[in-house]
Amino acid sequence: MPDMIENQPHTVEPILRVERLVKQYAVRRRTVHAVSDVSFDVMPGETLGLVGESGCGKSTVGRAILQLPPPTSGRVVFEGHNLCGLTGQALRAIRPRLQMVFQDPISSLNPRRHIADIVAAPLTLSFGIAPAERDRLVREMLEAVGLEAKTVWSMHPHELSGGQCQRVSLARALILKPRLIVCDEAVSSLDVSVQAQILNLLEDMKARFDLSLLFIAHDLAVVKNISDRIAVMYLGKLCEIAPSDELYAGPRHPYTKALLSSIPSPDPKAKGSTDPAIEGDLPSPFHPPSGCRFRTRCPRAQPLCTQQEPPMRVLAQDHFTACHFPLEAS
Amino acid sequence: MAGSTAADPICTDEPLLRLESLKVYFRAARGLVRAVDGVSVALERGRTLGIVGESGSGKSVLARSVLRLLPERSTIQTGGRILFDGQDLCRLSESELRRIRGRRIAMVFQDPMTSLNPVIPIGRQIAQVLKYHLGMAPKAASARALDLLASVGVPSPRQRLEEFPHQLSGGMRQRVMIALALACDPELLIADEPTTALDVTVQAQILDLLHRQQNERGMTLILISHDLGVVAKLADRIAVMYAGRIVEQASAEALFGDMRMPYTAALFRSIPKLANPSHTRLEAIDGRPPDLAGELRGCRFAPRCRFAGDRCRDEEPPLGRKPPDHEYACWHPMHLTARGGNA
Repeated sequence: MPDMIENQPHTVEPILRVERLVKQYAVRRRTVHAVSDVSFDVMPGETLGLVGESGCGKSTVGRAILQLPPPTSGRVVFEGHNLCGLTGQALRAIRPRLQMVFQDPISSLNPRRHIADIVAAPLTLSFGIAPAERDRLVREMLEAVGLEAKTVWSMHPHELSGGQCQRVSLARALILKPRLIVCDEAVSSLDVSVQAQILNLLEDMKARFDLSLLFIAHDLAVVKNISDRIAVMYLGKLCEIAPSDELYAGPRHPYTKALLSSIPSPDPKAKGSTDPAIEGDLPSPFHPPSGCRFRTRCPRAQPLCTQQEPPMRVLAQDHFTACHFPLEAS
Repeated sequence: MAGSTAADPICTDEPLLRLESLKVYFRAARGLVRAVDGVSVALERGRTLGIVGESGSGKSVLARSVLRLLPERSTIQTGGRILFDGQDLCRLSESELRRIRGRRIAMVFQDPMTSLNPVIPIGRQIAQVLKYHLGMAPKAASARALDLLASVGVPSPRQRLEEFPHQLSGGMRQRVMIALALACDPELLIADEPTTALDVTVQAQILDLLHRQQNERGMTLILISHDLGVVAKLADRIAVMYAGRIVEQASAEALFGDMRMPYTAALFRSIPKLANPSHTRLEAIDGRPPDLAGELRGCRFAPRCRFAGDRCRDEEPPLGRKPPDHEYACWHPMHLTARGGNA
């Protein structure tokens, strides 16, 4: 077992435990190493942020948790059950408790259905439910996510704005009373003013329905705002996991630091430094670099980084970093 | 009326670009869409103007209208002037415009994949521009293309000349787009969301590139973005657009130090900040922007504004001014905030 799990003293069982998750895809006789050996826990009531740049495998992790499609190897333990290997009926029995919200709010809703039917769809699939009871639940969910049920009931997705569609997606995810929601870039396509509405709504829903969230996004400021802990991914691997405020105050992995300093601050006083934090592009996931995958762009890389993959080590309470030469604690 | 700045120039030097109460409307099935509705702005040589706004605020339409790149059949430009170096671009013929587009004013778009020709190697695409605008001989043009690629930080430029756009990463494609735009040493570069499709680490590289190229060439830059952070990084002057109008404009320092228009302040407050602790409640703006094809009365932000009164809903706010050059369209401007001061 990876040492990060052994080192973490748990008094409560995690709601989700991801162990040594690997996902590879075959593309024209070559293999894409999308996710390589990723392990983390999500505790009940916790929001874990999963952050990284495009192509780092963060969405693949989210989908592999829901077995959409199942991972190549590794375990996904949700409420004590390993989901990997489950099929058909067994998986369907668990899915109501494990839901997902996608990035594109409009294309993830059926364009030909009424909003009420979209929100009701999970109910009809999962249970035999009386129409009156179904309508009551749909109304309750639509109101919960801040939509006026009466108005949107018979509308189609194209009649709503992106923010409203994302509220519908959330209502659809919530209607089965899930325990965990995986949000994959759920606010990325929204304007900032609307993004703030949805982030606030997610916080409210989390408190009201006693949810845990796995919040996947590329925007570190957004992730920091909503998460209790943050896991940083780079090219299929985890670099660092730490409580949000600590990760921001004292990143120990050079990649985390580069990512943080790349974010342009909306304050002209920070204008002086336009120096980019790291050079170059992401290496190919067909042939990930040996040893540490970040070494090709890392300003601190040494020969050891080429030869040996850095293990995930605990550097402070709840602060895990996979780096041979971690940055000093600030 | 909008555009009272026209008669009253903000700056003493003759600006390189001056828009005077520009209006750009579109004919659409649902009516006349007033995408840009009375915008006045001036930009001095060598300076950077940042235009921020949410989607649908008209910022991209404004940028494209400067180069007259909008579809002619559905576009109506009902008023205003676009003065570039003293010349009204609206009065030029298509052939006269072609001598300005790409040569004196160049543009970089958001999506580098669809802006490059997918079936022509990038070296030839750059050479074509040089041949067309500067009449360069093929050999000289390819040599210059090589220099350009090197100057925008494309690694092993000699090999890259032969490559097609799909062989490059998003960041590299955007570098190629910038090389294309810089090919004729333009006086004005308009960058419309140049980093929106890129990852943050690559975004930082591209912003740095734009900044350095601008300094080296003494170029004037218009940077359009929905991201206040991106604009804050490069712009000397910032204009905030909402529903087809500039609702506030000032130097970057003055704007961030003393936001007057409630929309600007609300936009700023709705951005999650890294420096704030986790779970900080964001101040969202309720509702959404008005339909630009519908009836627009009073202040366009009024339906979403916390400070709006009856007058805001009925009468268009006048342009308030704080010397030297801070302008805001609001009946109830906000006053010096705690973090304010005349920086």
